Amino acid sequence: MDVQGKPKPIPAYYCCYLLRSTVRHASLYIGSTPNPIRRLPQHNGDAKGGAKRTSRDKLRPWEMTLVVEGFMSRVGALQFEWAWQHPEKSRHLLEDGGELDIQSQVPTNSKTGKAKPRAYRSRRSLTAHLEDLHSLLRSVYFAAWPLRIRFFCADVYRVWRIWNERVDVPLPDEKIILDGDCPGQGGNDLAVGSINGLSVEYTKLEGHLEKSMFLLDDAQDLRCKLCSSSIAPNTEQIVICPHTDCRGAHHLLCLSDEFLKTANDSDILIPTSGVCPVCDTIVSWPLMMQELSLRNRAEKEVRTILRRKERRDRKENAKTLSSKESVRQTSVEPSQRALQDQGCLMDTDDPLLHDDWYEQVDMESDTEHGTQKHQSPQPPSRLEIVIEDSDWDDAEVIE
Amino acid sequence: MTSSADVIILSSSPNTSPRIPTRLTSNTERALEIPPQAATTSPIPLLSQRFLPPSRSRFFDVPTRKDDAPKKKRQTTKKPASSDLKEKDAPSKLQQKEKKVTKDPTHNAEEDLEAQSIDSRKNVAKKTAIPQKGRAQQKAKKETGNLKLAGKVTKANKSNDTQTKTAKKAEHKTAAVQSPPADSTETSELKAVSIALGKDEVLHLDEALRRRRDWTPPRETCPQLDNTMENNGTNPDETLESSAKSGFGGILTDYNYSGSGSDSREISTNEGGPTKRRRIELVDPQCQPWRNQSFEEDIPVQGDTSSSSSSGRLPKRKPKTQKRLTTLTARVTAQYTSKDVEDLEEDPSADDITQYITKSNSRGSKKQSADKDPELIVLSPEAAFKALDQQDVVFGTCSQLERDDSPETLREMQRAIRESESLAFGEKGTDFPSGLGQTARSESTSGSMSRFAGARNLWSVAGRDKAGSLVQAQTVEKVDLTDASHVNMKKNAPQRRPKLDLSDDEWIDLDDGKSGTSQQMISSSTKALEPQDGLDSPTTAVLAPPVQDAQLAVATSHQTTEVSQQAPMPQYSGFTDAELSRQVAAYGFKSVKGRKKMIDLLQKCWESKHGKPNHPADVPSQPASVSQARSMTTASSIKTPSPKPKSRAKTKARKTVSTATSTEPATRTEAIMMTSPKRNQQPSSRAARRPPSSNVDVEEIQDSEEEVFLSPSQVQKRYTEIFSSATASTQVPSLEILTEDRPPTPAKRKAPAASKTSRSIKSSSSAAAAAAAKTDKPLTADRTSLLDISIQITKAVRAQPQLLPSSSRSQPTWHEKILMYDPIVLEDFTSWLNVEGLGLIGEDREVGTAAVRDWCESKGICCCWKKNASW
Repeated sequence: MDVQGKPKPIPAYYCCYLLRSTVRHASLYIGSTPNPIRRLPQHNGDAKGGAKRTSRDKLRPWEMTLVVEGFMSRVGALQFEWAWQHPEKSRHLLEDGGELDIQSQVPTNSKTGKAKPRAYRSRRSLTAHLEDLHSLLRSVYFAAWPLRIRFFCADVYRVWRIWNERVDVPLPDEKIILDGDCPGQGGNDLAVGSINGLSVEYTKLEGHLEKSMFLLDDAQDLRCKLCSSSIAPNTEQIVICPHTDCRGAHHLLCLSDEFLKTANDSDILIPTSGVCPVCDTIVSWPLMMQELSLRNRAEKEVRTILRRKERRDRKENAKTLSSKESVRQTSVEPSQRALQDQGCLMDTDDPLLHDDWYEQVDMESDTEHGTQKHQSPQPPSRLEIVIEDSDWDDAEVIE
Repeated sequence: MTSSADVIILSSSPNTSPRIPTRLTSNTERALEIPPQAATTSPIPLLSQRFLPPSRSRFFDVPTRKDDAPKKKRQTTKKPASSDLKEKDAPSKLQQKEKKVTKDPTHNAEEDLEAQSIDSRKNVAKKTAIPQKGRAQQKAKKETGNLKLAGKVTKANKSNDTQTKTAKKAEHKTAAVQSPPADSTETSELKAVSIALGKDEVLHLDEALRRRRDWTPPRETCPQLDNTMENNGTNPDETLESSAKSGFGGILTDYNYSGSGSDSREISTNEGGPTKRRRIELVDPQCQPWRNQSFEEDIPVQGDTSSSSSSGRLPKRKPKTQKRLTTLTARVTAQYTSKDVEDLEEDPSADDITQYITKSNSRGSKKQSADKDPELIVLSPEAAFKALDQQDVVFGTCSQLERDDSPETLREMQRAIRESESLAFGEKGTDFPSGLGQTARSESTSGSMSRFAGARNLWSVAGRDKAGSLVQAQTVEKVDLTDASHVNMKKNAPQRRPKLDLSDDEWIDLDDGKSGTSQQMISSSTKALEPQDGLDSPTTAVLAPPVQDAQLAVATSHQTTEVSQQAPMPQYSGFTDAELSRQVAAYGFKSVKGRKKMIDLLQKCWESKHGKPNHPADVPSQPASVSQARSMTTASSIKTPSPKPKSRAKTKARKTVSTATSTEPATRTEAIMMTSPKRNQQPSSRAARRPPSSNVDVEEIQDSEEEVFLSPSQVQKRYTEIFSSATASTQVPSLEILTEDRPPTPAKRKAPAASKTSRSIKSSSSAAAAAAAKTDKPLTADRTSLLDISIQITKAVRAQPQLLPSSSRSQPTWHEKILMYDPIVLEDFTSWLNVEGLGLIGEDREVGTAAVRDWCESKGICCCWKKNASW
């Protein structure tokens, strides 16, 4: 991301994924994409642009066994991808190498003989990849990132779980999302069922955007509760609480300091979440940053998003009027809520829920446009941000 | 004196010879060399001849003086033991000498050496020559050697007496004539003071014999060495004899030549004499470099002479050794790690030095050029190697060289010297006139020292200056302290004589003529330094610092040495770069580029660690900070005994500084340049001067001086102290406080810190502070490097102010960028940190992209290189 020239907003979605051949499970591929819904058909030859390594018909079709999502920048995603692809070269893995080796000595020896497979990338096994993924997510660098693993395949998750249990420092559960056919995802709001259920657009931010735009449009009486000074949304970085009924607006630095105060660690610069001083609910920092960056850096897109949302809302209203007992009413339509500043459906204590919650909503709303929820790929985003997928072969040495 | 000198000569010559076979050889060689040169060149006629003999004699004499004078006057000196040894050898040699004497007498008759003395001399000469001859198996050679010795003796007598030209002339004459011993004795009696003769004669004969005996045995232990040495000597002797036999003219020419050399030698010998003594007894590390140089130079000369005189194998060996000292030394040392080497080394070095000086002073260029040609002819490297291989014994020179190579030996030598000096100084210290002066100095000087502890070299330089500028320093005196220092200085000078080289009357005279001494000192220092530079890598590096110290000690009347002695600071100069870096790391500092810097840093660290004395200037404000910084171990300088020496140094430095401006700025600057690193040396010296002055007239001096110059070292010191104290006490938080409190600009921040510590710093102008800050940078960085740089980066990021309220959105701060998950471009971020960010928190260090990347990754901040930023 160019910091000085035209800073780009935080991408709506970016993930690294582990692709596996449904024909030959030993064939694996690591890639990254901002839009796995579009990317997977490319790998399968349904669309142009698939990576060469996935072009063999024998191995097709491919399936995304898991995705690592939550990257806040393309650069970060590519770095993670590269590190995952080149565990033997990555400093992040080498740093933990000592611990990892010690911890994983027994399992690796028994299973794959870790050292050798690392040397030969092509022969890497699923276990090895998961090991690397595990250690990467625990590395100093990536551990602080708001990353989560979303498993779509139960068998892959099983391998992971075995590995995770053997390692001394298991990955926190918050970072794992069980999806697809993975068992035990009951009550998991984050599950989207399949790749196609992922929300790869800013639609999840619609409500948030709408609210913040509304709030900041008339910011005369808005004051940062933390510094008690007035807010100048045109010149200052103002963070808006994502909760629809919360009028919390704070300076970026004020809020971050407030959040970090509770963290008890002066060494941390970026908070992961915090309690909104206004509404006393836990809010996710990455989500707010996403909204902030989008609002500040991509006004055009914001406008587009809002316009689209408006249109959709109109239709939605019409529908709701027609069928009052639709299930959707209860669960959906953040836009309406945002507009009306009503409804506390978004009050979820788990900050991690937000994205997925929105996703669900979006998916449902998308259905109106004719896309099926879990089956059909989402309509191509109208946003101008075109982020190219990275191919394995294109992988550059980031470090 | 003349008589005593004569007697002394006799004893001395044996002493010298026994001490170091190399010396003897070198002497003999010189003598031999000189004659041929004189004959060939003979640029200096009668006068030169006259002078020359004294030079020879001086060589012998100087040692003789030492021996005799100490014996008679002091008698407690070491020589008696040596004399016993010599006596053993004496009898056999006496006979040989007698033969020689017969020849010598002619010379002696004119000059009037006492018969006994002559005999003894002859005996000594014979003894020395005899072994050589025995090996050479040529009586004639022996005789020649004796003759030469006699001539030398006469010269020595003259030199001892402070060289009355007449006496020298007489000696020359005697040498040339080679009159029988009886004549020589008569002449010696006539010309030289009979009293002296009487005294010296009796004692000398016995002693001389003993000494000779004593000396000879060690030679035997190392027979090969002696042989080689002797052979070399004998060869020239032979040539001399032959020339003498041929006719008076030949003999005269020889003497003439020697005489010409002697003139230069006299002066040089004076220097050399004291230096020799020092080296041997007090073991000044400084001397060694000299030795090396002198050796090299001397060696070629010897080779030339030998080659010219005789085409024998012996000359070949010598030249080889001389030319390829390193190779020879290596080989020799490998074969022989003899304990005797040390003794040998010391003596030969002295001889060599004298030779070197004499040559350089006189028309050495011509001689050398003439000599060099024959050398080249004689030597082929292969042949030389072969000869070397064949030789079982190695010369003292080689051993010396090898010794020099090993830093450990150097260190040991230095320590031993310091210890010995410290003992001597302790005595002297008591001598210091006023307790007041001591205490005052200790307080004031100690403070200054601690401040500038980093630039220890500066002090040494200052010491030099003092030596040169002692006279003028008196004029400068502002305070009682200074007066005391002056007194001390004066006293020190006289004291210095006995310690350095009692034997050299000339030296003393020079000291009296302060200007002369200063020049000598300077010259010597410069010479020593130059050779060091010239020498290759490790040896030079090792030697260089010690040399400086030694010079300082000599020049500055031991004060500096005392300081060094009290605190057994490791000789970092003797460390290898790797060791130095390790030491630096041990102190928790980053690796520092530059050997000097490392040494300075280590010295500072050591001083701070081992309780360097507090600075007087600091007394008002600094002590607290200093003490805190240094933790409990270091007590205030006043309390500890160590401060005293430093105080002396201060006073000296002060004097020197003050005087230096008027008297010898150029010399001082040079000295400073030599010793101190590249920093602003003058300012530093001034700064050094200030602290002492500050004690007495703190404000006055400070105001005037500080405005003009703010010594970077001072500021730096204080800062470092503050930093260290802060770190020690509260570590990070304290640092934060400091940084936060400080104004954004480094200069400003320094200023407040300085204000805390001392008024003087406050007074300093901002410009000066800035300059100081620049200079201080490396050091402070080292100090503060202990603090985690990442903490500083974090602070810097958080400290970054909003550029403009209006521009926050378009130009977010780094902190905002980080909060918004913007990938941080390492290059930009690093440059901002170095240009602005770290300055905000008063961090002078700079960070590299690697460090910044580590910081980012440790914080989980997405970072990337610029080339990847467009991803």
